[in-house]
Amino acid sequence: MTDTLRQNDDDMLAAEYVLGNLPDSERKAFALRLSADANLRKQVQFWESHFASFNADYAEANPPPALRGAVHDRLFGAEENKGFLHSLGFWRGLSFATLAALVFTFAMPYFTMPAPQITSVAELASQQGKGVQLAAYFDASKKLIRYARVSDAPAEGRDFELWVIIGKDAPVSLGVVPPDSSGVIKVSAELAAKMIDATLAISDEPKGGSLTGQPSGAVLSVGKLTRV
Amino acid sequence: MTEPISALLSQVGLGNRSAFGKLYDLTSAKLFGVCLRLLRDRSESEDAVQEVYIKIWHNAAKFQQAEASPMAWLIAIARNHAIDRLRARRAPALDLDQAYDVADEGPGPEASVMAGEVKAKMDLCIEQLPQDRAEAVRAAYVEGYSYLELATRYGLPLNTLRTWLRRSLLTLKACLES
Repeated sequence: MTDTLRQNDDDMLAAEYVLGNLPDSERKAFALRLSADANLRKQVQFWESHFASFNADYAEANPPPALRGAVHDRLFGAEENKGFLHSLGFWRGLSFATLAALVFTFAMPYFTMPAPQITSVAELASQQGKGVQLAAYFDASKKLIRYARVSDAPAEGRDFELWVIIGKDAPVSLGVVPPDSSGVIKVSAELAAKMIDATLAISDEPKGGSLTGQPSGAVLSVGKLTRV
Repeated sequence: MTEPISALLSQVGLGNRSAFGKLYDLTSAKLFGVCLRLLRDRSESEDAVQEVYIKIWHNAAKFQQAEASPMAWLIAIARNHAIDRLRARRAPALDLDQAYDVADEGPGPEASVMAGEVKAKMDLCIEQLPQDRAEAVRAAYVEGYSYLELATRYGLPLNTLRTWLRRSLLTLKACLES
């Protein structure tokens, strides 16, 4: 019974996600779940294919002619000039319509900046779609991580601690994730230089972070950084 | 109409830039129309449509013909992006008429592309909903109205409206699957 209810609830969320009327926080949370849940993606596809009937309501309108060149420059101008976009593989490694919603929004200003960036993104989530859900955007040259958390804040008297796992090394603490739902975490130059492809993890810790230098509480979510 | 767009998309998926240019020429009016209708702001729609094509370039390889018509797939990318922007906004946008003065040119290329059976079924099922509910579902999709905007339009409390719309969606789903 509960399963049926949950199934129905997810199906309604999928329909609302496609309609687009979910509030921002619910929409982002659903988009994150979508990346980890093939069944949910099927439900979304079901609604997308049916609601596509309404697409005829959208009248065509020609964009200004200059837009064509602007798109071209943003995609290929950057690549030809700086040679970095090409190697990035960009969004190809990520599942479409998931991270995009979250990370694109705050990563976008970086792509329009002139200087080359070495950046990667990770989506942290637990297997069950529970735990902490957080999108992280790592900028190696600025030595910082921008994050957006879409799940609940830590319990009273507890903190979320962010860890980086480089290769087979033991986790190294990046500090406690600030209580705000989005923000910036600074990374030391030494770590920043080697963590572009690392794995990030979040553990549940006492206020102020683990006392042992290693995760002492439950690991709530894990995600690998993927270059963009 | 269906052949060129889906063939172009496959080429774009392989990194073919000239195919990308052709795809833009064929589809940008529709996708710009989608952004304008949802965002009700010309300059934001211009930004949005650029980002939409950047996403299309990077995701074209993921398009699978079996799952969607190419036009529906492209429109879904544009709608998703525009709605992400819409929901991230704080204040409600301008009135539709103030920003959107483009004549309705009738159905675009997707009309012929839309899998006939799915469309017929959807039309039938939508008709079986009470008229105000069918309109609310359609307006949510086409105009991008939030629950708050819908509640205001229909003069219902937010929770009532959400229950009301979800019930319509359940009825719709039951009909679509019958």
